[in-house]
Amino acid sequence: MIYTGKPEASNVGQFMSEGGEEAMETYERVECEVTDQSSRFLVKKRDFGRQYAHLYAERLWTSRPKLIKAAKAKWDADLPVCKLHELQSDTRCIVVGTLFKHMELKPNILKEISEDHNLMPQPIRTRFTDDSDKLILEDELQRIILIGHGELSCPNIVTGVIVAVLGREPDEDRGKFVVEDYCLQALPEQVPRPSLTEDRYIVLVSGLELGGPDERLFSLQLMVDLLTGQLGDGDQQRDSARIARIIIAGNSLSRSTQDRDSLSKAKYLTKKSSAGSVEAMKNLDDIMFQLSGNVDVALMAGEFDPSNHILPQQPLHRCMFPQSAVNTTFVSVTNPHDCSVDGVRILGTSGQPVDDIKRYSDIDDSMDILEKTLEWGHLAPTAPDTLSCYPFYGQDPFLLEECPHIYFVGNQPEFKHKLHKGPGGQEVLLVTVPRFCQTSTAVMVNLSTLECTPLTFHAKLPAASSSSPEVDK
Amino acid sequence: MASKTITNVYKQSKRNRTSVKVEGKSESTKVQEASSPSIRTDDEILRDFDLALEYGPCIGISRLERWQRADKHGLSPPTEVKDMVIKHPDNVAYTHSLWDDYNI
Repeated sequence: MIYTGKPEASNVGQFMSEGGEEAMETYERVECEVTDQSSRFLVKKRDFGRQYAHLYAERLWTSRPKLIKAAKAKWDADLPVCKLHELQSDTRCIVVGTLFKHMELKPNILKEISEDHNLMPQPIRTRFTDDSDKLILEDELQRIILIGHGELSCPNIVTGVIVAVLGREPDEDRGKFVVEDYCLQALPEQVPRPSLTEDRYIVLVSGLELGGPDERLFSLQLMVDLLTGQLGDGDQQRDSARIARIIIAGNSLSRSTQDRDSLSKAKYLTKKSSAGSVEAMKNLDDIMFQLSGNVDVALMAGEFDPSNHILPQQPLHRCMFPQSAVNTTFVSVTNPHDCSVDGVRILGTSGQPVDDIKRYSDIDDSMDILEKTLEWGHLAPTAPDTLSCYPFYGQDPFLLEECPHIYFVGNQPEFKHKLHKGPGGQEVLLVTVPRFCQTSTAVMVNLSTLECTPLTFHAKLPAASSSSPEVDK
Repeated sequence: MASKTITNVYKQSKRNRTSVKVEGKSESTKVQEASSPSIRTDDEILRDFDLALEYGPCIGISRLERWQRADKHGLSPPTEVKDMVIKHPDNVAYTHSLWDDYNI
């Protein structure tokens, strides 16, 4: 087996022998049952007239029964569960609500246009946390300031998480709630993973970033050739034939293709130039055509891709893929993407929720954040507060209703994986997929064992020397 | 005009008018009151449903949608509200919330 953590070298030197009489072997790619479960992320009717209060109300109402159950299991089952307007002073009780983190440094449109502040623009920061941040708990009717957090501290949590807190409202300090302990909902039920007879793999890659200065076309071509089974000897090709699906997790186009200079420059300068994204899209279509020629490809939109900015990003339109759209193996999917390959549930995003949480909390590690979003039970808790989101009303599609088997996030700085074990016996493989343009690494996950191996395509080509070759000297 | 004050004149005419008009009006008001309690109390019930904070925000969605959402989450909204809204599907005063035309 080639694609494991410890590959065994067998048949070394096979290439060096002459072809001979052995017939050309053809390997058939495995066929997998792929069901797409992302229909809740498709926005059919775009009605932006609604406010976001409905999204928050849905989130709270859907999570509340689960939280009450988890809270009663963790603490005493006899403790009363009160709504904020029913709170009596000095009674120990459980309150369920949405957390709001009040941050002074959070960009605020009111501050920007306020005349009192003399229109001072807020400096561009990468992180908006401060020591003066406060936590406030909100339910449908009221909000209350939380003090004495203990483990529920500002640096580790963001706005939009639904929690159950145990504590009391002190009589001497009404309007504040002293927190003893807090509780999150239990990880939802997980459908047991089917046991597969043979190894099947899926490949996750993200951050191809074509059209930019970082694009690594040679490494990309190596990867495409390997995945389509054109590289390697018989054993390698046989193992490559076991790859069932490739999921490209966003940012297939580079940030520089989004350059809007052409809009501000004079017409005579930009007349002959076309948008950077056109050329890059053609390249992407070529690559997708090669891949989809013999393997299932799912392409997710990312932050720099030509899809809508707000989450959930809709699938990239098929008119941009004139060659690949003809193949039924190529499918353009939403961001976040939820699918099931042979019974293994895969869920992931292109990285915007995790990056947003990094900006609004003190957690630095992407794997930590990924694990926390799994514990909080929500893919993108900061939506719609700081992360743009569509104003849903009937349901909050980012809530984790079912526990996935593989939970990934794309466009992260490095590759990490972790097996998270839940209290109900759930096992979730958490994967942070690195940016291909920086690391030339794709991730291969074994569906039967949930083993995760990186595939790195190093190509060190010598730099072109300035002097001419010594042929004619 | 010196002995008679306006109020006298007014009162008299009012008395006349009201006496006449009371009879006339009473019929019309009776007819109106027969139909207006139904609209007015309907309106009050719907308004109370809108303002009840337990069922969540009311702006931006129709009353039936709000009712169905409250029902889905087990908040037991009053069924008479749903019946009223279903009976008058074309009347905006019934189907949409109080602040519907405010465009927020």
